[in-house]
Amino acid sequence: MEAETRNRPSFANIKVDLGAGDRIIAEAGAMASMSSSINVTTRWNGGCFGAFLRRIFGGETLFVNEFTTASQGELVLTQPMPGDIECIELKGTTLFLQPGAFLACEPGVNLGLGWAGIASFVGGEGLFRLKVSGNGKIWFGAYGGIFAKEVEGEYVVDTGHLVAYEPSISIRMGMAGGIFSSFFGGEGLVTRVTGPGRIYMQSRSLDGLAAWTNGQIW
Amino acid sequence: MFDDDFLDGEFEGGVFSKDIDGGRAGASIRMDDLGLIALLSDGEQFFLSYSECNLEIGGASGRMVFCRNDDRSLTIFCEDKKFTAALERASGGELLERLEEINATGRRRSLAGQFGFWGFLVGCALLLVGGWYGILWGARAAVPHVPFTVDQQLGEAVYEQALDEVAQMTGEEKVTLIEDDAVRLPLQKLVDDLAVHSRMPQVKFQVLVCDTEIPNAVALPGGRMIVFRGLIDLVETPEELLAVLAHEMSHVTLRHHLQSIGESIGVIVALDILVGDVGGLVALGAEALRAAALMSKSREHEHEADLEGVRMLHKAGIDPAHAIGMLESLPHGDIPDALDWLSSHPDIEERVAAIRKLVDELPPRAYSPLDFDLEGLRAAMRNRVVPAEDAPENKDGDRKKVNAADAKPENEKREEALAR
Repeated sequence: MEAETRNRPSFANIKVDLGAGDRIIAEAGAMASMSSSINVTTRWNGGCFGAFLRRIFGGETLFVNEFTTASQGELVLTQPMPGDIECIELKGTTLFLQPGAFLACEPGVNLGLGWAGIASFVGGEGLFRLKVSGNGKIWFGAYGGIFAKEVEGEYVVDTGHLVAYEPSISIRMGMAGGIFSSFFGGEGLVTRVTGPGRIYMQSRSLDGLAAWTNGQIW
Repeated sequence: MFDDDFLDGEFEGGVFSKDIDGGRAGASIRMDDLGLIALLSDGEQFFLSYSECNLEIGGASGRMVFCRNDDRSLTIFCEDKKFTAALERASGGELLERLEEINATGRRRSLAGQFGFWGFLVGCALLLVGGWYGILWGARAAVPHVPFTVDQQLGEAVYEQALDEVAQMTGEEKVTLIEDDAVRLPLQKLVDDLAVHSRMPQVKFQVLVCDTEIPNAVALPGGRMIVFRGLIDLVETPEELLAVLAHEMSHVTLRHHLQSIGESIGVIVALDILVGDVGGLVALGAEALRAAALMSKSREHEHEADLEGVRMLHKAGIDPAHAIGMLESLPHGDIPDALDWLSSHPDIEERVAAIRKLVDELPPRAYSPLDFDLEGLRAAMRNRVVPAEDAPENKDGDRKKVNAADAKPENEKREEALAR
C-alpha cells in the first residue's frame, strides 16, 4: 500500500494506492473518491457500545469503513475541515488524539478510548481522548497546519490547539498568567504540557473561528 | 535476595533516545542485577544502570515512571503498575528512597483519577435519569398546550396504519369493518352516553366495529375507536364491555398518544445532542413515533387509563367494580397474543389492586344496571347483511348479499352450533 498526502497544508487529502489484499480503515464519510475495484465494508467503530462511547466522548464517527481490493485501486480520503493531515507510524507505541482528529489507520493499529480527566474537560479538551496504539500508520487531521514539538520540561499551549500527544506527556489545565491577564488578555485557560515527549499542534483553532464568526454575526 | 521471577519479568514500555530513528520506540523492559535493559522490536538493546538512573513520574496518566540517565540522553519509561515494585527489588534498595516518593505520588494521582472517573460516572447516571424524567415531565407539561385538533389530525394520519396493524394481528389481508347500523349505532350510543362523563366531554368519539375474532379494542388519537367483534362475544355483561371502552376512551381524553410522541421526540433530540449526526437513528425515531401514535402502552399510561375509566363509570352511575370483574374473569394467562390490549398491559394483580383502592376511595353512590341489549347486539352481528363483495361465491361464481352467519365457512358454523 502506498499513501501520499497531497494539497498540504490547507486542503490536505490522502491518496492511497491499494494493492491486492491491502486494507485501510477510515472514519465514516472520509472517502472522497475511489476506484470501482475497491470494496467497502462498514462496521461499528469498536463494537456497538464502544462506538457510542467514541462518538459521544471521543468525537469519532459511529461507524468505520474498511477499504479492500482483490486487484488494485486508488482511494482518496479527506477530512471535513480545511487543514493539514499528518501521518505517524506507530512501532508498538501509543498516541493520544484529541476528539475528532482521527482520520484513518492501517489494520495493525488499535483504537481505544482513554480517560483524560476532569481538568481536561474544564479546559475544553474533552473528558476522553482517543488512544491509538499498536503497529502501523495512522493519519490524523487538524484545522490549519500541523506542527510537532519535542517537549522537555513544561510548555504552554492554548486550549483548542493541541491535536495529539504521546502518553509520556502529562497535561494539566491552568491560567495563562494572573487572573487579570488571563481573562482580559484573551488567553483564558491554557494547556500546560510536560515532557519528555512529542506533541502535535494545529495552527488554527475551531473554537477561535467559531468565536470570531459569532462576533461578526452579532 | 532477588526474586528470579522479578529479574526475568518483562514489562511493556518504551525508550527515548537520539540513537533511535524518530527518537522513540516501544520496548520490552527487563531488569538484571545492574540495571534496566530495554529491548526494541528490531533487536536493538539499551542499558541503563541503577547507579545513574534518575526516576521521575508523569505522563498522560500521571503514573508513568521515567528512568533517565544524568544527561537525559536515554529515557526508559513504563506504565505497568508492578514496575516500581519490581524495580525496588531488582535495584537492591539503591532506588528505594526515590521509589517511595514516586509510589506515594502515584497513589495520590490514582486516587484523584479514580475519584474523577467515578464522579463522572455518577454524574452521567444522574444526568441520564434526570434527563429521562425531564423528558417525561416535559412531554406531559407540553401536551395540555397543544390543541386537540392535533390529536384528531394524528388519528386521521394513522388510521389506515392502525387498520393494517389489526389485519396483521389476524393474518388477514384487509380488515373487514362492520358497517351495519344495527351493530354500530348501539355501541356509538353507549360510548356517547359515557363520553359526557369524561374529562374532555367535547371529544366526539367515533365507534368502528371490525369483524375480527380477537377480543380487543383500540383507541386512536382524536377519538376514533375500533371495537373488535371478539370483545363483544367475550364479555359476560354490558357493564364489562363498557369498562373496556371506558379504559380505551381514557387513553384519548388523557391524550396518551401525544404524550408518547412527545417522549419519543425528547429521546431523539437528546440522542441528537449527545451523539450528533445520527441519520439512521432519526429513521428509527420516526418509526418509534409512528408506533407511539398507534398504541400507547407504557405502564403509567395503562394505570392512568384504568383509573380514569373507573372515575368515568362512577360518574355515569355504573358500578366500577365491573372493571375489576372484567380483569379477573378473563382467562388472560391462556390467551395468546390475541388479547393484545390485555397481554401487553401491566400486571393484572397490580391493576386490580390499584382499581380496588380507587373504588374504595370514591364517594358512595347508588349504581344502576346498564340499560343495554348485549344479546341483541350479538344477534345483530350474526344476522347482519354482508356486502356483496365480502360474500362467498355461489356455484356459478356469482356473489350476492347474505347474512353474516350464512357467509361463514361451514366448519365455523359447525363450531358455533356446537358451542351453543
